[in-house]
Amino acid sequence: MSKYSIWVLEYAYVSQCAVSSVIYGAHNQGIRKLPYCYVLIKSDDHIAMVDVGYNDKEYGRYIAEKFLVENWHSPKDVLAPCGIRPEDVDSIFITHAHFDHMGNTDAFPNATFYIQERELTKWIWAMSLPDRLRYMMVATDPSDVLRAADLARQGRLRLVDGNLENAIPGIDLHAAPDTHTYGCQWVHVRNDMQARSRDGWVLAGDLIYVYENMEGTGGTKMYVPVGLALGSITNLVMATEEIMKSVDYEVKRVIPVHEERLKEVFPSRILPNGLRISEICLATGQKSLVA
Amino acid sequence: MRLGRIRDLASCAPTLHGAGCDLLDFPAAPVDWLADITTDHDALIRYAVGLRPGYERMGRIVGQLAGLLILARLGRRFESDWPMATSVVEQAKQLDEELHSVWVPAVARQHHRYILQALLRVQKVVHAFDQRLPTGDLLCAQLDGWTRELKLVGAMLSGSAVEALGIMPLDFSQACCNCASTFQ
Repeated sequence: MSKYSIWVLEYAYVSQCAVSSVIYGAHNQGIRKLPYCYVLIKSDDHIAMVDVGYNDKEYGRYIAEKFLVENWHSPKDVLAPCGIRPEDVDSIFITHAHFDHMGNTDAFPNATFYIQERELTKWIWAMSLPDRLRYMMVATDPSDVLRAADLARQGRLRLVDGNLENAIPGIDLHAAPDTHTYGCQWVHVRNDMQARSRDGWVLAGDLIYVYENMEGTGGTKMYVPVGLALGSITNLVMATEEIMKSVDYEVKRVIPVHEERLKEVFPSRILPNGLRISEICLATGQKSLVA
Repeated sequence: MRLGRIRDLASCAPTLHGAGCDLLDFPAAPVDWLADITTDHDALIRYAVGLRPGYERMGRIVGQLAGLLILARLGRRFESDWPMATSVVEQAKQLDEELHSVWVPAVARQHHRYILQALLRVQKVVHAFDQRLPTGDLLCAQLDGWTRELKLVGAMLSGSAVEALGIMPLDFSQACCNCASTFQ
């Protein structure tokens, strides 16, 4: 019996992304398509997401123009093929506070958001630093923190201090401090509801972009971290080890949301708007959305 | 110069609101101040270079204050002499000096006045942080008011952004690895 269905939903993409940005040290190794996605997790009693992308109202559009992000679609459009409206989502796990992951909280009016407390406190610290140290708040939009304050006012923000089991039944949050950002977290879905799950899935956020981050390049079978670590490379590699351990080192059970090859590993469908749905697993009784 | 884009940014601040909307008091952004940009280019660049550090600092102060409000509400651990709070009070003093010492050409006076209005709102919240804070429900009511005030400031910063002059609430120069990879 599987409790949750999981789909990776593409909401935009960069057609020509340098490989070095997703694989640490892979300089002069060309470009590849980089999908921008969030994750939908659905059961009979919960509709949850991992991250929310960014909005296209103000700076989202600027990003699209400046950085060649293409084909952005709203959560309303992206969720529609799954029969879900943004208003239906009740729980959202924010892996980290970069604008392309937490920049569209306004689109989900009924959801409770989960984020690591360390992510918040360290961003406050980073924002207090002198100008010459502003690299420390790279890719963070202060207005996202402002929106989070409004979520707190509405009672829809939950700060998580470290690991949290059963944030909703069968879904655990794991802290990965000082890795890609100061307070990253990854999401472990125990689909058989067992403490030592044999049907677990990991949504890794930006701790793992692509399969090479777990398998290395050229058959090396060595973890190679992502291209950006505000914390340390050591912490990133050790977080990868912890993630892999949680799924008994089965690469397929770790979902790198920026990986274009997900469509080769999981049943997928390209929609008329050019965006992809990848079906990671189905709950008992749930019909396929990609068949 | 991409005046169309600049006007898009300047006009992105909402002008119509529902009843009870937090942004009901939002002052209109000065959309037309860039009309003379081609005839007064150097003066505007000098203005932008002077303004940018303070403008960006204001965004960061708003972010810090918002974060502190979250901690105050959820963590129930906020004290006004907490190091993070005292730090933001100090930064607000610097901000006041920075913004008032900017050289402002005639063409940008309206824009600068608008930024100073935003500063006043920031100072209102910061000043409250500098006082003895209430507790319990009274504190919650205060937090609600300050959150609304900061939302207004955030909207004003967005409304006064000028891409062509590098006055932007979010620094994209070192964007995340995905975005930076395609930096043009």
